[in-house]
Amino acid sequence: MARIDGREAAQDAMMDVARLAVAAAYRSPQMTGRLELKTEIVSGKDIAPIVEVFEAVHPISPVMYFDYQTLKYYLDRGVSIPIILLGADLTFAEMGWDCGACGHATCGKFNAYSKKNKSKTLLWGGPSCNWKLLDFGAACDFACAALNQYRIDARAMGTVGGAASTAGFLPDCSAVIGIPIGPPGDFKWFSRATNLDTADYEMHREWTMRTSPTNWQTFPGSTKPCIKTRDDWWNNMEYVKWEPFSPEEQKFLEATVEKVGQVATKVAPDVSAWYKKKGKK
Amino acid sequence: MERFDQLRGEEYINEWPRYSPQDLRRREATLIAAKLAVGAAMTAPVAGGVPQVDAHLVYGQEEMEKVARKMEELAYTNKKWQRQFLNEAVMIRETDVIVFLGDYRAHETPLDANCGLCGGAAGCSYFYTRRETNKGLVDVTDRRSETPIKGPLCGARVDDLGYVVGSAVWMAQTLLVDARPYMSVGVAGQKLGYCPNSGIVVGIPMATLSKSPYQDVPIDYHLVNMDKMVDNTRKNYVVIRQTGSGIHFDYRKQFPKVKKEE
Repeated sequence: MARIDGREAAQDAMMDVARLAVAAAYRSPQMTGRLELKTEIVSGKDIAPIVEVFEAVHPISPVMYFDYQTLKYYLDRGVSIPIILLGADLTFAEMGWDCGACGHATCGKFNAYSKKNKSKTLLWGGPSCNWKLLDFGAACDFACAALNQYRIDARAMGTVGGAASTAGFLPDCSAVIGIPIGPPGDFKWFSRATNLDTADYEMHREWTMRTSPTNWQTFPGSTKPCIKTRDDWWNNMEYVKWEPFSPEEQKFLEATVEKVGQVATKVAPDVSAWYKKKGKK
Repeated sequence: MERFDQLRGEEYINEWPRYSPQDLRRREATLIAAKLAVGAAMTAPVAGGVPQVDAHLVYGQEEMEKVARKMEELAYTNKKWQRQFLNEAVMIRETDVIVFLGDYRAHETPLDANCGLCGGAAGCSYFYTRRETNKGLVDVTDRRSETPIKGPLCGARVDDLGYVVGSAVWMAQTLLVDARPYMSVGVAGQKLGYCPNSGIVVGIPMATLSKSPYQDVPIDYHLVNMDKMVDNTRKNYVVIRQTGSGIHFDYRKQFPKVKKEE
């Protein structure tokens, strides 16, 4: 006999479902039969290094900003958000299919290029064998589909995967995807109620206008159409211009990347200690 | 109530003989499942939710033969492909429906997010410096290629196609319909013009047979398979009638003597 609070039970179930989602990922159909899928479930305090990197990188773009804010919201309130990490090293093609999809005439040439040019961005790394990439995508999809089958709101995020990878999680993987799971409920990672206070109407309007100026564009006959940025747009008209980053913007970008590097260096020993400990067992 | 009186009938279903009316009724179920799989593929999670999927449903005896023959043709263009393509061509002849899924942005309208999947730290420059472009617009009108697939492709889009393929197969498996994705089927399908707008195509054959065509593959499957076994039986059977038994008596009034048990 027992009485269990339903919400607590639902929260506990997040970890059970995370395990099942990972199992589903390993059962995904593989075309190459060569993908070495690496997965990890990170929860509780172990998420801290990911959030720390996220904190450093989030000013770089609203997408990073949104995802960081959501994760931080839950963590600040003590809500455990298990994160499934899925990764793989896609930088080597052993099949010898010579399909050309990577841009090289043969797998041998791809491997030679990859050996010399293997590198990472803030998000992922490469170069990638396209068929292994397809297999990796299918594995991530199977994890998402399993979560969906259990009606868990889940979103596969390159931002979370990128932050985790930069923090040192799944160190041998050229691509890492993160799927935060929970809390139980509808619209947790889509239409996020938690993010309401992260941006006001004006910010939303500016982001929308910056990303889709043609929606507000005036008659283009002059070839220099103005953008209707205000109700009285015809006064002091404003225009979209293209130009390189200003010195200030460039400086901000470089400073952010440097800060991310510093944070990564700081958190990496703790993150990698787990792998070393695991290796010894 | 009269209209409900029309809702009656009977449908006999049996997977044998192939392409018989009773088998075609069975295949109809696979086709319905394939359409549902395409529906699942269309809703697969992709970067930014950007529409990018080309789907093509192919079914019918002649159509399967066309794809299988293209795979066999391709098998002899690459030693590493040969055994796999020949095996998988056999599977296609046993297949009810092929779902082809392609990504029509992978070669022409990349994600442009500098994600690094295609070329590492070089970001999108890896793709754009290896493609015919004009101010960042990719010119795909020259479709000639020395490789089976004209690369490079946008890694993020190809990764997305992986999700799309995963969702299609997930749906098929949920319906307990056998399905697997294949590179060989995809390359053959692309050569045949299926998913005409896509830079890369994956083929997912599906079947509702008692034994899945896609696993437990014997050696030399292109020589040892159901079609060959049946054909060899047909080849020998008519001769057996003449040499083994039938030629030796007049069936209308004779029958060979049966030894009486002592």
